[in-house]
Amino acid sequence: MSSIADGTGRVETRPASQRRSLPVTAKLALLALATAVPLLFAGDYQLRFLAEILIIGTAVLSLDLLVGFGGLVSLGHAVFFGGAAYAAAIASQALGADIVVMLAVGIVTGMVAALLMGIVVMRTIALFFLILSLIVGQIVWEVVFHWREVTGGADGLRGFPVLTLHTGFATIPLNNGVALYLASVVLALAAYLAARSFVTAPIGRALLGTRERQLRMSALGYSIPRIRLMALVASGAIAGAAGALYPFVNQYVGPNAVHWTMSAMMIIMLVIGGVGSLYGAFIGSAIYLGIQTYVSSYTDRWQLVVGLVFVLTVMIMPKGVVAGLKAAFGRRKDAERRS
Amino acid sequence: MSANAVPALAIEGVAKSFGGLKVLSDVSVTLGQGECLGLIGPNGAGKTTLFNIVTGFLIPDHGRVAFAGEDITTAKPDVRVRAGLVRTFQKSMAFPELSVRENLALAARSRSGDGYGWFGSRKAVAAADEAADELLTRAQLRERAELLVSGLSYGEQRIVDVLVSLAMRPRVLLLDEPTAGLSRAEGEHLIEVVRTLGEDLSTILIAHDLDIVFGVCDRVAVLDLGRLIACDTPDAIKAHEGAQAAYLGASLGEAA
Amino acid sequence: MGFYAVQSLNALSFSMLLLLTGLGLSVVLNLMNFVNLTHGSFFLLGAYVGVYWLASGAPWWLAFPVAFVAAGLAGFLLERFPFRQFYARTHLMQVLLTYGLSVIFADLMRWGFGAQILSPEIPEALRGVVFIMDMPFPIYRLFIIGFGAALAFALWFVIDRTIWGAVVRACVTDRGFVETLGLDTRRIFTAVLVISAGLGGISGALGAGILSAYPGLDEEVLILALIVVVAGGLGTFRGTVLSALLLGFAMTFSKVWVPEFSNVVALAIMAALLVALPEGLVAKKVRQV
Repeated sequence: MSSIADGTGRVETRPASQRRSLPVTAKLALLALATAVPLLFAGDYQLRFLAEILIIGTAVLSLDLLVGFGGLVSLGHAVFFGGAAYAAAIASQALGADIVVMLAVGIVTGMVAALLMGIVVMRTIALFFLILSLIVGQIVWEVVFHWREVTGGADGLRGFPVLTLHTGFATIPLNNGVALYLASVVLALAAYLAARSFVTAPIGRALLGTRERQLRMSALGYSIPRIRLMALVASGAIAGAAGALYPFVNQYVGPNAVHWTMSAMMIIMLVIGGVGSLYGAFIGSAIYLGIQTYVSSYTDRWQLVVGLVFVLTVMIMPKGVVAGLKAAFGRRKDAERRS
Repeated sequence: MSANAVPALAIEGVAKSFGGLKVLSDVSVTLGQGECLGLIGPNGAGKTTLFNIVTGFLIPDHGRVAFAGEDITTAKPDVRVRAGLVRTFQKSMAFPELSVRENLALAARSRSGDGYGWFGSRKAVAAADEAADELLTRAQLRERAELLVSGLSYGEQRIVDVLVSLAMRPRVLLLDEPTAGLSRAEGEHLIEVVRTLGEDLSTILIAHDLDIVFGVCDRVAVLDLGRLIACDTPDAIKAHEGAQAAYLGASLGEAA
Repeated sequence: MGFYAVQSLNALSFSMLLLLTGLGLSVVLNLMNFVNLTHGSFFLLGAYVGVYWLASGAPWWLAFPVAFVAAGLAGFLLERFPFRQFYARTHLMQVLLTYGLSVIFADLMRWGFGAQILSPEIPEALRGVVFIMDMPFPIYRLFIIGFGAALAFALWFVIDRTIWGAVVRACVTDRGFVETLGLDTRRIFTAVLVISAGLGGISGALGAGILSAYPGLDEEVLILALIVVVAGGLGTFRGTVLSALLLGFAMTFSKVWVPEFSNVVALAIMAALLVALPEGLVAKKVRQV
């Protein structure tokens, strides 16, 4: 099978003792450094942009659980993300925008949406899953678009209270680039760790099994709908957490956030970054949003550029740009060594 | 088997058609506790269809299937498996891109109910790995644990397949041509593994190698064109005329 | 009574558009096992070609063959590269490739044809209305119904009842076997894709008279066609016809009865269908295990 799923899903199954990698402290130091660099060089606008990349990237990460590990290509994923964004935006008007409350609202919304969608779609596969998730997503879009009193209809919602963090002794307003950026880093990191633990836990291995061999999995006593439902709910929780912060970074949430084209955009990001790699979600989100933001200031044809990058990735680097470049670089090195 | 014990598996009057094609008609067999029943018959006799009905991949048109006295005719496959009714397939179904241990552990976790764990399932993972390693040690394949299944020889893959089903700790195991494509020695080794590792195990064995069937099974059932034409001890089957006819004159006695 | 007769005809004309577009998609999916999401682009291209042709003053009826040729040519080029490299790949890879291409074409067409909504000048012969039980009904929609039915029938006849159709179907089952008969399967696949793309183009030229032509129409049509093909069940002509009728009638009558929630109702009906029949209306009987 020459598919995009080839060799993905092997996040790391060997025991920790055998992994050849940096010690945890070194990793943490690198991470802190990588987080700190933009703080020194980027302005408020760029930091907000980075926050957006991380938040959308987190949503794409949650999609990777389904696509990369379950073989479930969903065109309704935006419902979890956008639904949570709306829920947080609406809840903030009544409850204020405490970040913990917002995250809770978003996560619960994402999980409930995923559960409901899961009950509908869990028995279908492949193209049938794709289309059914699309239909369910579009039903939600129709509701959001027409329910003006609550969602603002086509205009969407804006003008939210300031996102705040309550610590024991002070309330910190998260209304500037630095604060939003740091909050997004924490969100992305937590989501990444959660997703990683998911795919290495029994449920993640079982999900991988349903992608490869359904018959075998039921012969082993696994219930495939149950596995899918759990994956959807986990994915919905992560997408919901990302969605909860989105309105406060973007300062706007509109019906496009739940439209199927948003789901398609997430799939494009995921493929560019690398399906089944988890980290690729953030790379893809950075490349896509980078093109959208920076190319569009030179030409109206940024979608053409995105399309070309995406098609080229599918054709020559089906495992994503990072893996693709690594392989290309590795080949050259091999050739040099041989000559 | 004692006369009043509940049979491990009872198949009663099972019939199945695909469209107009009758694949099984009125088949009744029982499997005693700890018994090994051979299931033979020419290609297309309905052997695999019978397995599919017993394991829930097909629902029979008529008749019922009882597992340890309980009616399971319409139960879902995964429910039957967790109750201890396990099968293998003609084709190797192990995950080629997973390691041998991971394959066995996947089965062990399903059996212990830890198959769906996420956070805090470290203990369950360790326990399943341990169970896998124990089975591998007893099958003298411990040194293969880390290898990907795709890197094993065909004979080893078939054994891993059987080990995966044993990791489910079955009470009844259905083996669908586990020895196909193996040499005589490899086939005998595989059966040996099943017999030594599966304690209190009742098995039904489909195999084309009649030597193996007659050698290891307590009783042998013969299917032909969807009908059960005989079910008796190996010696009686060898002498059974209908069974011989089913094999088109290839004398069963000769094979033994 | 007359009102419902006219609404039924409305639904029928919309179903016919869905059917024609869906058939183009389903021909490639069923015969070549290839998921082609650029089909919406063929539709939009045909729509633009139709609009410009009808505005040019050339004989109006030529607009449809010209749209067929234009989209067919695009299909021919795409088949050479890169579709051909993806026939043996998984559906997922095909979906990704062709969706990416459709994003590119959408932007190219926005570049070339502009972002405004273009409506064609309906030719004299098709303008006006006829009265059906005292209710007016546009002649153009009758034309769509007739023309569409004729095309769909011709397609079904060729695929199901002629030797060409038999050869193409044989290609799907066993390519090697057809090649040993001395037939060039590559050419056969090219022909199927060109016909499918051409059908997309014709549907676009026909549909422009009702839907107009504008950026984004490609995606809207693609989604509806995909729903039709998948909900109908993969690999069946009958299923595609049934589900095109179902979706066309559901969308038209939900607009009549519940205009506020028309799309929600129509989509919910299709969702319910797929939940009840996870393999579509007409599922191919395949023995498992």
